[in-house]
Amino acid sequence: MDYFLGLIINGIVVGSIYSMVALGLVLIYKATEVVNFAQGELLMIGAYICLEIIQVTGMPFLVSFLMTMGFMVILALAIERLVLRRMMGAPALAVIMVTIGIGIILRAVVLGVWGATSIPFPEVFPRQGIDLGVVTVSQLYLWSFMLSLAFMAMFGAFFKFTRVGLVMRATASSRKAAESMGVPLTKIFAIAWIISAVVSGVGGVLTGNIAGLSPELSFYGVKVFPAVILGGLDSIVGATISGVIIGVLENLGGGYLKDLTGLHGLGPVAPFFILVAILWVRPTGLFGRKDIEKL
Amino acid sequence: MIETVLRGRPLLADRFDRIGAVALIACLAVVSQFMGDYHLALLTQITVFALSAMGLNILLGNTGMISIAHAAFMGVGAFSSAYLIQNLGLPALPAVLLAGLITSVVGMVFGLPSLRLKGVYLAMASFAAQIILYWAFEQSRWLTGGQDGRFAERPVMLGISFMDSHRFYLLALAFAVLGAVANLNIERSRLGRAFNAVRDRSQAAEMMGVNVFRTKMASFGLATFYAGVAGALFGQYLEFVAIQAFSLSVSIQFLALVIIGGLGSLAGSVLGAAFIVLVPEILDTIILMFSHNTGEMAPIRLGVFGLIVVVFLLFEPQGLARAWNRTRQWALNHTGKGSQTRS
Repeated sequence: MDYFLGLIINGIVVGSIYSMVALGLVLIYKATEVVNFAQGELLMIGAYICLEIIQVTGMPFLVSFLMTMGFMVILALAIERLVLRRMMGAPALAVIMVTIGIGIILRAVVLGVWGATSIPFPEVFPRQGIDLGVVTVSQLYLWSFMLSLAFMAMFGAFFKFTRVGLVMRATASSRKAAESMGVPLTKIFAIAWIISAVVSGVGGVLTGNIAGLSPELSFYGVKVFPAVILGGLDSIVGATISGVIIGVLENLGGGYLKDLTGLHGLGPVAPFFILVAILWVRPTGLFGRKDIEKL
Repeated sequence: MIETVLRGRPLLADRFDRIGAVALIACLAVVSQFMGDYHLALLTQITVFALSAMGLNILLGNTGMISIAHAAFMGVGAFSSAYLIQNLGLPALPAVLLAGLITSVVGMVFGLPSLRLKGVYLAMASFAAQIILYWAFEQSRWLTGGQDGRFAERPVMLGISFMDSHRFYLLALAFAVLGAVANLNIERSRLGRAFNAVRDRSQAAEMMGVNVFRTKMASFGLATFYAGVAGALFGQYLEFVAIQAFSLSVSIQFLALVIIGGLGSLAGSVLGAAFIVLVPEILDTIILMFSHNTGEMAPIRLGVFGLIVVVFLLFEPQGLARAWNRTRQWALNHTGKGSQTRS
């Protein structure tokens, strides 16, 4: 039973990070109709930058964390300004490929600067467990969970209560209508990229804390794909919920399916089986909107 | 883009193409026999990659669908041909073709959701296919040898042994030429026009009597058949098949190859293959001039590759094929012969 609960809690924690990063992906898609295939690399570079700032400046984690976010903002602006803005209206394949290209460049930077070996993240949150009555949870996990919740709440509030948030929602629901009402689209696109890069950065720092730093970290970012497909590519609520679902299923899959099937490494691949299954059965996901195509 | 089909298109547009194609093939066949091992290895790789790229280009360029799993499909071909030959004792030629068919079936299974999907959704479906297939390779030690890989041998086909690298190149070239002729023939057939119709407006195509689902499946089947045969040849050429050769990054390389070469263009597949094989080699030579630290090579290679992809998409989205067409047009204008060209 403890094993089961442990898997569930682990899944919820990792899943909440997926949710947060998935939020970024959905956000960009809704605002700009671009699916960012470099999300995993953004996550990875966020983690490495944070580590570098801690090691070089020796500043406390919180300051380094904020500086990392600053870096992610600049990076997002550069990507949007230099590349994606010029790709507006290009076919889906070209846009996908260009984000893959950006991902490759980021990966090359990480490999060139930090190498391919895995680096442990300096201990920020103690791994020591806290007894929650039913089960003991590592403090690191609790912190990660709360931080991702806090970030998601922050963005929720941003969309609900600020003017920019309102304008972004308007853009997402209809780009043409928003544009004709005088919404500066390029600014909205830039903000969407900034938010997405920042949540990826946070996700990177948290997963880096949990799993250590290596170029493999980008695979965590890739696992938000099943999450967004499950929830519906254009649904923010869907992304939030299904991130956790994917996290839990992945952990249960890794924990039990190995004994059941005798196959190794099924955990990380399980979400992709789910992805294919959903695309077969219900391509719009749980919460997605079905758009009707007209000639 | 509007084309009227009155008499049907000839296989190659005009005399320039016809003479050029024959000259190129003859030239490659002869020159390759005098090449050193290093250059021959590069040329063989380009040829096999070009064959594989033709398949991906049918999917990407002609039918407008996306696949981020092309390398995984090549892997299916490579492993199944090795298995058919070594474990089941099939002769090489049927084994390679059967491996193509097997790949084709696997490809169509993963292509099934494509009826309802397009654009980014399809990209994600194939992305999942790549990850699932790669994981399946890792698990199926009986087929792939797991992380150790497995040996593949140079084949004997139609009574001729292709053990020798120079001979093997001729085999690869023959397959590539056959693939190219088939490709051109498909393009000018009903099926090829159906591909284009589905790409441009699938609803309109459906109204005009094109079975969209069957057309999409045919495109997947053809694309992965090419991948399977090319994968089988690739394994035989290396005499060794390792799963790492069919990873996600290789699939991305193939996507980049087709885009850099030119979507929906045979010349694009060939030029793209040459580009993707030669650029890293040239880059290595340049890096070695400045530094002797070979550890720096991989990241620089990767970074330049990413940059090239982004720059091509920003500034020459139609790829090398367009540059080639310009040169070709120039040559035509200066010889005063030849008809109007198709894009």
